[in-house]
Amino acid sequence: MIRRRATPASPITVHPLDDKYLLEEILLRLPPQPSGLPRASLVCTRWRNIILDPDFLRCFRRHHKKPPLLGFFAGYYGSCAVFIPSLDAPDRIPCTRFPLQQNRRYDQLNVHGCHHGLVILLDLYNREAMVWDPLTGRDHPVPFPPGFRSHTIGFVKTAVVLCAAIEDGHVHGDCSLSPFKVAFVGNDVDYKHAICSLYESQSGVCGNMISMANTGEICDDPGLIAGNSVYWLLNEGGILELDMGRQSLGVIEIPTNVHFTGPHFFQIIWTKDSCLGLAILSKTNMRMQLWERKSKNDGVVRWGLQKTIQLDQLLPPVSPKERKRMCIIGYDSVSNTIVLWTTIGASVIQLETLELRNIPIREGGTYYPYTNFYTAGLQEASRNQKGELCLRKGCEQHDPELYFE
Amino acid sequence: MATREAGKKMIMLKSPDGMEFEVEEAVAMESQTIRKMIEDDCADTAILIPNINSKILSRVIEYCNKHVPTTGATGAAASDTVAPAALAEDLKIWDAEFIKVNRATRFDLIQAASYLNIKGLLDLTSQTTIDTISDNSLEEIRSFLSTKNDYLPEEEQTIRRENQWAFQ
Repeated sequence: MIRRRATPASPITVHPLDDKYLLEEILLRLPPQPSGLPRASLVCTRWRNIILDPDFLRCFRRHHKKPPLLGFFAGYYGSCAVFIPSLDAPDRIPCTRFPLQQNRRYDQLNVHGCHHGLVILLDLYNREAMVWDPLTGRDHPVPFPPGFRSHTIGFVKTAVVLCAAIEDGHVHGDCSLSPFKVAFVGNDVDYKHAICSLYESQSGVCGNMISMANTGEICDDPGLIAGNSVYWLLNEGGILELDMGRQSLGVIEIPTNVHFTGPHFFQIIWTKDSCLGLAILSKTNMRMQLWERKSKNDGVVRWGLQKTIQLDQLLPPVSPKERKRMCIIGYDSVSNTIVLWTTIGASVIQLETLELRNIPIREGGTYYPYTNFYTAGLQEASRNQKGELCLRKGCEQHDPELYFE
Repeated sequence: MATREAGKKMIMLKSPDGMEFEVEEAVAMESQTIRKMIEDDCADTAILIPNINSKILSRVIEYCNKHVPTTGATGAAASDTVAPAALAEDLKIWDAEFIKVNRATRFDLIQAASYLNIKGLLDLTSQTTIDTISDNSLEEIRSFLSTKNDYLPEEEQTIRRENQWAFQ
């Protein structure tokens, strides 16, 4: 239920579709897929006025809780972050809907991850990060923490961004105006220590450098954010954990009888039981093992094999030569889906249902899943004194695809 | 009038067309509106439910009866003897049958659920309304819900153009 009336209205006096509160109740159950709201907004102006109301949109996100996976951001030659839609029509948002600003600042940037609807791009050369909200186009430059900027302490390998909004009832998906955090992670110059620093947009400053000895090199794969922690794979086969609350680092060993074959075949996952897990791809056996780290009755936390997915039963047949190119190129913890690079493109597999979706893509690389409620395309419309429909200036986005039809 | 029957406290609900329904207090308290009346001691006599006719009120009571956390003959909560997943599945099947009503009745149930503040019933009725129209064209939705298109043709075109991909 969304906004309760102060006192219950006398029932059955007006048709529910003529009662704004009841119409809102009904409309907030529209599907969370991107086409749901734009389509419904065209039924009549009353529906549109409700759908454009920021309070309604907040309730809509709160009702659905989990935003849908819209697609992926990937770096292609000539562009640092191209959107690759993963949904079918009419929910297939064209890539031109999320254009980077035509700005030189993006020349050296590369996408390093997406979380809470925000994208983090890093310019390792000029030592600057950019937090970008693709829905609104807003961006926010964040200089590397001083020790990383001067290279006196070490080098940034990668970073994660997350919304830092703490107000009651905040549902991620409209985080563009909210404060955010960036966790930078890197190594010292000898690649022996792991170093982290946490930037908070609200204060505009970076926290102290946190370091941990003898971790070895950090993989530059995207980190996994779960709860108050961020996890990254280590090149020597462990998992680095940053506890953002305690501002501390720790290393979690991978299962003892597992041989670490590199970040292309290992993926940190978050299981449906809210436990840390690992997805391990074995090309020779065409299978993926899912491990979970949880405590048993004795209270000791240990790894256990949860599931083995036979990929040859799931994917179209591949030749041994093609099999060699298979690797993990992305993972989304919200929808618990893993993305494999196969000869037919990107294969997106939901790890519980094993539902498979193929996305034809041109080349490999890392795919950063982008989950969000698509509300940006809804423009605020109002009628002027003459009763004409006006579109709010400044929000209009011209879709280049329209000009080629 | 609040009475006692077989150890259970009963509440009398009255519809405006003069029908009276004696229900267990726990069932009536599935409605947050009635719960508040009972908790505020406003329910000593029969509670008149304004504008909800006996036909709709009996359906609402039927829903609350099914959804109230039940206790078995031994006094143990039903959820102790039946697996929660099986119980939830049973309720889902029951709900699907319950909501097989015509459009007018469903709208009446939405209003009753809203007034009586019964979250589960409001969820069920509103979600069913959306599910019924979600695969339809705009014209079909307008016709089904008797909603008039008050856009000027050029306004409709402008809005379609904003998110053309969503109308493919």
